[in-house]
This record gives sequence, structure tokens and C-alpha cells, in this order.
Amino acid sequence: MTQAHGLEQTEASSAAEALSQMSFLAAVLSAQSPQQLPTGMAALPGPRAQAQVLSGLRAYRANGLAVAHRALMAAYPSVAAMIGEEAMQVLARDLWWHAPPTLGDLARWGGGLAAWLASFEPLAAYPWLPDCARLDWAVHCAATLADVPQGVEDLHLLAEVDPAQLSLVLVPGMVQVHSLWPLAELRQAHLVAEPDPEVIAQLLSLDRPQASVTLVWRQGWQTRVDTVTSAEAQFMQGLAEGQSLAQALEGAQDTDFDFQSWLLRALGEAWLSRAQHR
Amino acid sequence: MSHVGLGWRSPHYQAVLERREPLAFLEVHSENFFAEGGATMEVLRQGREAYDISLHGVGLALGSAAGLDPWHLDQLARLVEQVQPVRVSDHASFARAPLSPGLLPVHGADLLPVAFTPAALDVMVSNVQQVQDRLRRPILVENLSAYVRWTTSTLSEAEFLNELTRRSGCGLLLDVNNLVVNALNTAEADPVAAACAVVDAVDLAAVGEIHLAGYNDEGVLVIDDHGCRVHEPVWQVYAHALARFGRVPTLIEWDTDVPLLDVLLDEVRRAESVADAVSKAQREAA
Repeated sequence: MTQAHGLEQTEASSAAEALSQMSFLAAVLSAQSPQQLPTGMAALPGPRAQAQVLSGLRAYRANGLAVAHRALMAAYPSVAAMIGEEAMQVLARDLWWHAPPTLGDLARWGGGLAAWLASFEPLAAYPWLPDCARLDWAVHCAATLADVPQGVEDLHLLAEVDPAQLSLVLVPGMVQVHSLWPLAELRQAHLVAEPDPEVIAQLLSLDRPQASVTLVWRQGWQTRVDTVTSAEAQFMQGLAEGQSLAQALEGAQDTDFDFQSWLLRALGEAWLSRAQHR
Repeated sequence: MSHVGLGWRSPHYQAVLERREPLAFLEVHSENFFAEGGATMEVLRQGREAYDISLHGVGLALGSAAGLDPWHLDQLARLVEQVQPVRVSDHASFARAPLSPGLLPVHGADLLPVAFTPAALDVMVSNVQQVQDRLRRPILVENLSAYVRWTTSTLSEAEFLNELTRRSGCGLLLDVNNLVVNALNTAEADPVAAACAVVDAVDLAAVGEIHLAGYNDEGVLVIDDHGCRVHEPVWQVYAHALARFGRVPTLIEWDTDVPLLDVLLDEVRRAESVADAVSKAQREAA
């Protein structure tokens, strides 16, 4: 056998291996339950497995759905509390088949749930769910970010530098979630041991919907969630986009924004990372 | 000094840190600690202060013909650097493949068996070497419980694993429960003897860790669900393995319906007593 011929054989074997694995994985992840085993596979030789040739494949398919369910339950605790385990199972199954993981860390899978919920007809009567899912996912992702150091670097610059030449830098990973529903309150109301239906009904009453902004940020190794006013959100968005303090204040001038009050809260809640010259 | 460690799962994060029970090591699933920071990483940091940590992966997909995911390897390398674990391991399985030709690979989030063929061996050797080059240390690769079989296999499982360890320089994480589950599912006349035969067939020097766990007989198949105490046949095979390999680090794994910590510690003590009994028998025979 020549060297070139041997190489061709090796490449052909590898290609066949890749094709076999592709067929197997496709059978495991397919929305349609396979009627036969993929080419190159057989049931185990035991009489029980032989009696039900697809039992092994079904075991892998069932395990996939179980891990999908666990992953969504962990990532979306308030949505799960709102709709229950069975509905989460259906959503996990559908999302698993529609958009299987691309990474080997299941905690990274499931980010498409909010969009999925928005077009999921059986839950259309609960229009706040997609936004609640966006908040759950934002919290889930924030929990994996690097720890934020305590304190604000160079805060003294605030008293020394012209606001047009000063930047206030927010802590890394801070996220705003905008909604017509009171997301932070809804989340809190559902994550207690025994959610109070009256409190939840009040939060969801149809005459209440108004723009709300929920802030997600990291304080040390902890993840924090709270509501901010639209004016605060607008100001912080300006800072996050790299505006100077003067520019961010100007952007919020037509609102009821009060910088002194915001600064006190920002220091108390550890929103600020540092002040710096531009 | 105990040789037995515990699979450290979230229900016992706090209890293990508070009680500081004598354990040889804690083993965690690497993927659960891919975060850059946060509460879980703080837990691991505290655990590392008190115990040796073994990193056991479930997602590298070492047998994938589609290759390793560079992102996954980056995360693992960062974690290894941070934790300085006593061992790093994953499985002799695949999970990454495209669903159709030309598409990007997806990840099946499962331990899917590879065919025991020279081509599959080439793939796994190459992937394992890539991991070891990146981590700058040998890893352990664990044998699977499998619920289907490839008709294309031309090697036995032991032959495949021995070739893998010889060619890549990796070690073997021998899951004794998986051997028994496979023997039960293939209706071996004597499952313990069949599992012991695999123990006898793998290279003596390759085994760097043993896993013990419970299985569940679901009727059609016996499933390796890590959801109960270790079954008697598994203890028997474990004793046989210790007699052959010596007192290698051993893990009690329990991942489904995780019980009270005291139940897990009871299993740890039993593994220690099995090892003591094997040592005693060997001394008396000498």
C-alpha cells in the first residue's frame, strides 16, 4: 500500500466516522421520534433490549429532554414559578428540538426562550412572560460574570474635574431590562416560598402597565436586581455609551432626574466602578 | 488517610464547607464552574481551601469526529489554571456533530458512545492529545455505560481504551458501575464476572481513578442514573479492581435525587472498608 493510498483510506474512515456520529446525534435530537436505528447501530444483545430495539435510542432522547428541562428550570426560576414545571417541560422540549445547544455547557443554553415565548400561542394570554424571561436570563448571565471589585476608584475627581471632561464608569455587565410590566416586583413575588396570588394579581392588573426599567448588576460575587426610574435608566445608558457626565446630564435634563439623589443611590448600590478624566 | 472522595453537588455545597468531613478529595463537574466569578465560583474557591479538587468534565466530547470546541477547551484551561486540580477527567464519548453535512456542530449534552474502531480511536487520540497539550498535563478518560452498540466496532472496549492510553498518554478513569451496567444490559450470564474480565483486561498502570455509583433497572434497560446507593455487584467488582490496581483514588457519585450528606458519607465509609478488607486479605495471602 502506498503512503498516499493509506492516507486516503484514513481520511475515508474518518469521514465515515463523522457521518455515523452525525446520523446518531440527529436521531437523538430529532423532533420526530425515529422509527429505526441509524445505519451502523444495533440494540444491545440482551433479550430485553432486543425486544424493544429502539429502547437505547429512546433512553438518550429522554435524557436530552430531561437535561433541557433542568437547564431551563435553573435559568428561568421566575418564569418556572409562573407557569409550572409541566409547561416548562413542554417549552424545554420544543426549544431543545428547535435550537439544540451549540456549547457543552448547558448553563449557556436557553437564551432563546423569551423569543420562543413571544410566539408561543398556548401562553399568549400571559403577555408579560417574554419580558420576565428576558429578566431571568439577564440575571442568569450576570451570575457568571467576573466578580466586581468593591469601591469607586478616583471618586474625588467628581469634585475636582469639569463634568464635560469627566466620565463615570458603571460596573461591568450592568444590564437594563425595559418592559411595560413591573418585572423586578413580579420576579420577587414569584421567588418567595409561597407566592401571594393577590399581590401578583395587583402587579398584573391591566390598568397598571407602564414603562418600567429593571437593572441587573453585580456587587462583588452577588447578583442584584432592582427597579430604576426611566430618568435614571436614561442617564445611566448615557454613561454606559461613554458620554461625559455633562452629556449624560444633558440627556436627562427633560426628566425629573436628580443627580445628587442618584449619586447617593449609586454609591449605596455599588453601581459605579470609577471616575476618570476623558 | 482516606482514598475516597465525594462528587460535590449543589445541595451539599454549604454542608461540606461547614462540616469539613475527612475526604480524600472533592470532585466537581468542570462545566458547572465555567463562570468567571459569582457565587458558585466563590463556593469552589472555599472548597479548594479545604480539599483537593478533581475536575470531571461531561462536555469535552473527546470522541467527536467534528473535533473539540475551542471555547470549551479555553474555559477548561482557565479553570484548571485557577483550581490546580489533583486530576482532570472526561469521558470516552462524543456529543459534537453537525445535524446535516455542511452545518456547524451542535452539542448533544450527553455521553454518546463511539464505535470501537481504529478510525474512532484516531479521532479520540488526537482530541485527547490536543487537550493535554493545552492543559500541559495528562488527563483521565472514563469508560461509558452505553445503551446502543455500533455494529462497526472491531475492537473490544478494553482494547480501545488500552490503545487510547498507550497512544495518547492519558490515564483511565475506570467507572466500575458502568462496567456492571453494560454487563447487565448485554445480559451476561454472570455480570460480575463479565465486569471483572474488563477490569483484568485494562492496562494495570493506566487506572488513575475509580468511580462508584448507583444504577436503576428501568425494565427494558438498566440506566446509569447515579440515583441510589452503590449496588452489591458493583461493590464486588470494586473489590476485584482494588485487588488488581491497589488503593487508587475512588469517587462516590450521586447526581439524581441527591440524598442527605450523611448517606453519601456512609457510602464513602463503605468504600474505605472494602479497601481495608482487600488489603487485609492480600496481607494474609502473602
